[in-house]
Parts: sequence; structure tokens; C-alpha cells
Amino acid sequence: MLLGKSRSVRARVFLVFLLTAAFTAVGVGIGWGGSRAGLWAWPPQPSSRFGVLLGVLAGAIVVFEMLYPVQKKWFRWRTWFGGAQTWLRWHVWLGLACLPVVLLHAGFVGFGGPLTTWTLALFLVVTASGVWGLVMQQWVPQKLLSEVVDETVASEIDRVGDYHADEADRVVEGLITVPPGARRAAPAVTGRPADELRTFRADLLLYLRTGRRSRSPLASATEAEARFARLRDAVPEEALPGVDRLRQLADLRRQWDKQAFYQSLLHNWLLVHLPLSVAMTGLMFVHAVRALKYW
Amino acid sequence: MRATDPTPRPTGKDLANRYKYTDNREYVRRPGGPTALRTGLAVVAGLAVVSWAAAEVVFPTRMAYQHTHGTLANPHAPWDADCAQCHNPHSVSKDGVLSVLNVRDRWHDLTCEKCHKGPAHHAAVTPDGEAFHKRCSNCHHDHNGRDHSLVRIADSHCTVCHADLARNHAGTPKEGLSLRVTAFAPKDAHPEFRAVRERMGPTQHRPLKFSHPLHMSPGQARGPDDKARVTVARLKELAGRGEKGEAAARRYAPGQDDPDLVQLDCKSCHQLDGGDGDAGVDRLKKALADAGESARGALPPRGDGAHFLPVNFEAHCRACHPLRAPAGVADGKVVPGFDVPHRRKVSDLRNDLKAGYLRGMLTADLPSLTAPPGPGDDRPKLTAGSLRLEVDRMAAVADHFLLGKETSAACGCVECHQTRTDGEVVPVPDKTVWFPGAYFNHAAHRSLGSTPAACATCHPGTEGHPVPVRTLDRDALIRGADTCRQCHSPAGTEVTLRDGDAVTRLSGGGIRHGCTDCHRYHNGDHALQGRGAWVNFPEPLGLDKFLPGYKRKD
Repeated sequence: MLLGKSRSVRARVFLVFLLTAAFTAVGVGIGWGGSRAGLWAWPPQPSSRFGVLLGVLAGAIVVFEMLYPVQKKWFRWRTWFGGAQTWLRWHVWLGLACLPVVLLHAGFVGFGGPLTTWTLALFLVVTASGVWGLVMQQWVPQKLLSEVVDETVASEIDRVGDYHADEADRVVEGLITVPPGARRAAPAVTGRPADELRTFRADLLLYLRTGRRSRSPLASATEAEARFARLRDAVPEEALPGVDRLRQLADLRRQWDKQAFYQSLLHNWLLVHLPLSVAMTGLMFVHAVRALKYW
Repeated sequence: MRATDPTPRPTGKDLANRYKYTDNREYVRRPGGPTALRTGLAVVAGLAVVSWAAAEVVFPTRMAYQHTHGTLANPHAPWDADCAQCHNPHSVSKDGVLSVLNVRDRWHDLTCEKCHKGPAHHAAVTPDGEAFHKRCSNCHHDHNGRDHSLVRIADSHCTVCHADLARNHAGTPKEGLSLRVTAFAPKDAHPEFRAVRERMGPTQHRPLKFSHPLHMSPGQARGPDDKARVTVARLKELAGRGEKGEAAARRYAPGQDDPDLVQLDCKSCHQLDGGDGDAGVDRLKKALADAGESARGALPPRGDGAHFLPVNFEAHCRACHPLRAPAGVADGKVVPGFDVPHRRKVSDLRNDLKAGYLRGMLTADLPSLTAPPGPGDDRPKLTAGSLRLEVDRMAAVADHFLLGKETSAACGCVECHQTRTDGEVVPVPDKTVWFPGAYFNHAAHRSLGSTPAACATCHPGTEGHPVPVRTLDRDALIRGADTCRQCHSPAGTEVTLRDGDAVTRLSGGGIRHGCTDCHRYHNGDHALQGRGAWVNFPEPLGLDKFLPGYKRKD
């Protein structure tokens, strides 16, 4: 979700932090103002009537926040509340608004017992990871657009790699053998260059299928440039189009390596955000039931 | 960093269409590794929470600890996982649905008085103050760890009312009550000690004629030219010949020879501890027993060292001030003198004198009383009437000696006591404790020293005078609060000490200076009403209710 209309990534990232601080400051300010007006004590006591109401409000917000992944998973089409963008927008704004509500509910300094301490700590980590994710969303897509021109579906990179590896195998085979129906009688590349091409094919196919994980020199643009230059010098001119195609495929895989890295930045915060959200929500319910039921 | 193009990224469908391999549009059905991983982690997290919730149901008591702020203080340790021992139960059916929101009220509804009974709180507080005091946990915060003190509370708990007592006091505050107390330091935040403030009032003077400077001077001289200065030999004579005199010399003039002037020390009379088993204490007990006094009253089994044991005439004064009826003469024979008891009403004392002389006459073998009348014996016989006259005569002499106002024997009642118009001695109130509203522990301050000079740091006028003078103690011999602030104030606080015209400026020592360091509540440590007072005793609980898991063996 892009914030604002600025083209500057830095401005949008700054806006994320500014909004986080502003939501917190306004929420805490309202709490402080209420205490000055004699409506409640300062700092608020979690178990006071005001503190409990804040807890209920925070709980409601958390429940709404947890509906977002549900909507995304099972109700991808437009719901009564709006489309995916609307859900995401409310998820972000209410998530930021929840921070001061929870801080006020917790009385700022008191973590309470082990359960509430865990719940509050998880909430803070979840919020921090959400803000981090929002920052990533302001920055990474721009990087993908500018640096990964031939982007593919992130989860399909290895499948496309396999697809391209098959193509590369056919290209090399066409150069070192005579394909059926070809006009020429001898392979385009023979002798020592053909042997080199066979050896190179093994490296190339591995790289195309597994990318950076193969630890192939082709993962480095400089190294790949040098190796393809040597290959071009070794093969006859009629084989050059085939070599250039191989180079294109290696370049694509290198882009996708970069895409995979950016995709990890863009989505891996969810590895923290989602599971801890589930844990935090569960503990919150335990806390609420205990707090309201007993004594 | 500048964005080159803020246009949205292509959709997944667009990306999938770039490479037309088999089922390239089916990518949505093939979640990537990270998606599966985070789903798996979410499931694990969910299971962990379900386990926690299940534990709450299966082990509600043990898991209750997970909801507390921390372990209970040491005295409450047995009930760490048994909330119901202290928290009163509540329910929606009993308290109504809205009580769900009154979490604080429910949590702080405690059963403290089940074990901690005590006297009533301040009687003259506003309704708000009364509500505040009714909830024990407003001041005593548990669940703060084993070593947390439940009685050492922040000053704010006290100053919430005492910073503006005029507003928080229902009715008219007592005269002399400080209406604004915010801290012990600086000076203007806390009033001077009441004992010091009121010491100049005529009603505050003790009806006891005692002079510390006189007693602390060598030989207890009444002036530079006093010929009757007390030497060790004179002390032995006054205390009584034999073992009594030697014991008195060992106690009051240890290491001194007979010609030396007796030099008393603070410890000669002021003792913090009975010192059970100590030879000196044994002698003290014997002296008390000889005088018919109970040693138990003067020497408790073991003092806590906070206050000095009461100074007792028998134990501390009689050695030099023998309270003794003088010898008389009757029927040509000497009727011996005798010790008279202390702490008697004058009327009783007069009867004691008569009884003593009558006993003396019987033991003095007076011929007119003992020899049977015989032929030619014309000696006058004592009739009952004349016997009474003899006794009354000798008793009147002793009466004048002991109770007369002009006596110079230094052994009569008026030497130390004031008398009323009816001749009775004005009672001397117990002043073992000079700060009835605060707590002071002498033993805790022992490191300051126990020499007369060290004691005089806080008790001016108690040290010996270079030129013997007889200045009667008329005031409470206690310096003001500034003496305490030398140490008990925030580090760096300016403290001004005045001793006459001399002014000394010091920097506060930083030692603790909270309200509860001196003032306790509930009279629990009240100097004149100890913790053992019956008013502090709750209904007995029994060990089975006290300790979880305790099984009575029938």
C-alpha cells in the first residue's frame, strides 16, 4: 500500500514514521487531556473503568485486524466492507491507532504479570513488524520496477527457471548437434569449442534451475560477462545468436535472483507479523477472559 | 532516493503471462515457500495459545500466577498460587453485569483484616479519605517480589492528604497539628518535632529536679567550691558497706580508686538492653530484688534496642541517694535507721516509718520493753500510749529528714521531686519515649558513638560541664529535626545547624528520609502501643487455613 502521492520513496517512508508517531501522540494526548479534565487518573490504571474500556476497544481493533488475513484468504472478492485495498487501508490505520490505545490500557510502565507482559510484548513486536512492512511497501516495489524489468511471479521463479533451462538445453543441443530437418550437414560448433559448450551447459542449466543457490559464477554479472565473452570468442559466428540467447536467459535468472531478494524484503516481515499476531490475539483473549471473569 | 515512476507494479496475471510455460496461470494454487512457512508458523502459534488456554482450564490455580504482577512478598509466600486467600470472589450474578468493568474494585477487594487486625484509621477524614483508607492496597502494594516491603511505602501515599491537611481533614484539626507536610527535607517541608516545639511551655516541664550537667561532672559537684564532691570511697559509703558498696563502685566508677572523684557515663544509667546473663545485670536484678522491686518490669527479657530501658530509682539512683530513715534514740538505746521503699505515697511512707521504728525498738532490746518488771524495779515502763508517742517522735524526725523542704541531706524526696500542697509527690510521667508519634531506634544509630560527647550530638546539655554547675533539665534534651537532616535528607540538601550563636552549614547525607522511616501507621510500631497489643490480634485462623497443603493429623 503506497502512502501519499509523493514520488519520493524517502518522503513516503518518512510519512510512515510520522503517522506512527502522530497516531501515538494524539492517542496519548487525548488520554492525558482526559486526565487533566478529571475524567480518569494519570497514568491510566489498566484495571480502572477507563482502562478496561480501553482494553475492550483495543481488543475490538485487534479482532478487526485479524479479519484482514481471513478476508484475504477466503473472501478475495469485494465484501460488504469494500475491496482488498479498503481492508488493507483500514488494517493499517486501525493498527496504528491501536498502539496508543494499548499503551494507555497498559498504563505505559506496568507490564503486569507474565501473561499480560507476553501479550504486550507480542503486540509491540507485531506493531513494529507491521510498520516495517509498511516501510518496505513504500520502497521495494519501486526498486523492483527500476531494477527487475523482467519480473515474474515470485513464487514461480524456479518453475520459470526450469522452463528456461529446458530452452537453454535445446539451444546448446542445437549448436553441438545437427537437429532433425536442419539444412546443414555438420553441427554449428564442433571440436574443442563444442566440448567447452557442453561443459558450460552443465553450469548454465544448474544456475538457471536453482539460481543463486547453485553458487555458480554466473550469479555474478561480471563473471558471467567474462565467461560469455570467452564463449563468443570460441564459437563460430553462426553460433553467436544461440550464445546470445543463453546469455539473455542467464541475465533473466540474475534479475530474478535480485527479485527474490526484494521479494523477501517485501514479504518476509510477515513471517513475524502473522504468527505473532495469532499468538498475541489468542493471549489477549485469555487475558480478557481471566481479567473479566475472575475477581 | 528518488522514485523514477510511481506507477503500480504489474499484476500477477500480467507477470504470469510473460512466460508461457505449462500451467503458468496456476501459480495462485501453488503457494511459495515463504507463504507456506508463515502459514505453518501461524498454526504453531495458534496451537501454542490453545495449549496455554487449555492449561488455564486444567490447572487454574497454578496458571493464576501467570496473571499476577509478580510474586507475593515474603509474609504472603504460601499463597502465591491461591488468589482466593486474599481476593474476595465476585460474580456477575452477585454484583451485576456492570461490575465486569469494575476490575480494579474487584481485584482490590481484599481480605487483609482476616490476618491483620488493627486500630481504626484516622477518625477525622473526609469521605474521600475514608474510602482511600478502607482499601489496604492503596498503600500496601503486593505482587512486587519476595523482598518488597509492604510497609515501606512512597511518601506520596501520605502527602496525598498531609500536603494539604486543611482540605483533607474533616472538622477542625487539633491544635499544633501541622497542616502541610510534603517531605522530611528540606526544612520547610516538615515541622519541627513536637517535643522540641512544645518544650518551652510550662506544662511540659518534667516535675523532676534532675541535672545532667551535675551528674556528668566529676564528683557530681554542685559548684566549683562544693566540698561534698562524691569520691569512690564516698560512693561506697553511701551505697552501703561491704559488697553493696563494692558493687556500686564497680558499676559507677569502674577502674577508679577510692580518692578519685566519681565520673559517671551515659551508660551508667541509660541502657538499651537488659543483657541477659551479664554479671552487671545480675547485680542489678539483685539490687532490685533487695529493694522489693520486680526486675521484670525494669528489665524486659530482651529489648529491641530502639528505646532506652526506663531509669529506675532502685537500680540507678539509690546507690548515691540512699533513701534511709535516720537512727533514733528511745529508752536510752539507739534504734537503728533503715531503708525505706521508693515510690510510696507520703501517707504510706509515714506508716512505713512508724512500722520501721517500732520494729527497730523491738529488735534493739529496749529494757523497758523486754525486761519483765521485778521487785524494786522502778524504771518507767512504756505503755501502749507512750510507745506510740516514742514511735511518732522518731517518725516525725525521719519525716522531716525525708520530706522536709529545707533538708540538705540530698537524700530526701524533695531533692528530686516536686511536692503538692498536700505534701504528696507530684508523679513523674514515663518519658522512656519522647517521640510518641514517630519511631526512633537508638540501636540503629550506635555507630555514632556512645561517649557523652557523641550522645550530646543529639541530646544537648547532657554532657559534663567544665565548671560544675547545677542546671536543672527543664527541656526535652533533644535537638531539632535539622540534626537528623544532616544524614537523612537528599544528598546535597543544605542543612543549617544552630547551636546558640554558632551556625554550621552542611550538605545532606542522602540517607533515606521517607515518611515511613519514622512514622508508622495503624499503631503497629507505635512507640507506646506495640505490635503485640491485643488490638492488633485477628481472629485465630489455624495452621490448616494458613498453609496450603497442610493436613491435620487426627
